[in-house]
Amino acid sequence: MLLARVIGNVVSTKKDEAMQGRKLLLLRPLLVDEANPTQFRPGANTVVAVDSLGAGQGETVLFCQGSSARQAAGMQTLPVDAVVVGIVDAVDVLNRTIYPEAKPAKK
Amino acid sequence: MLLARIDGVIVSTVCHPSMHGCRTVICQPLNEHGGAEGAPVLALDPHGAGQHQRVLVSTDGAAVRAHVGDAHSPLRNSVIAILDDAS
Repeated sequence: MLLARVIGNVVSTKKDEAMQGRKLLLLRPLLVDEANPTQFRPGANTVVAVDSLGAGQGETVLFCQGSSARQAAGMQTLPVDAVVVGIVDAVDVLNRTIYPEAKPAKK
Repeated sequence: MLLARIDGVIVSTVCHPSMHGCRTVICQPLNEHGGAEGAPVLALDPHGAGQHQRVLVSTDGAAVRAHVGDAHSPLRNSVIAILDDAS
């Protein structure tokens, strides 16, 4: 499983019949920055994943890749290799909450 | 899955029996801005995508083996959707 930021939607009319009615999201994987583990750095690749949870643009999600992606509920018959399996509420690294980012205090 | 652009078509006469009658295409993975990202991949194309069309490529080998009806097919990538639009 990997964390990713939702960066877009993918729309397709002509597709595999098993995929009808499935929402597709464009994801950018988020990796914990080795230089500063209290922040993320974006991965180098973009991934398209099926989303049955209703995640939206800008949200951080948890996604599965490979044959295990088909183990998610309702995905057994789909020809997919990436599925959104969670919408992330918070991420803590080294006792610091790095997601959601702290909002600046109101003046 | 990968967002990709069809860059070419492969024609092969001497190939694995599971590939007979299947269209095979060269797909260049793209980023969110439509720029090339990473090395091109080959994929089975049951939908008949055309040159320069944007498609979704899945690396789910089980689905391809089911599609060609050969449990021992060496194929892994397939075009599973042709995109209307990507933002």
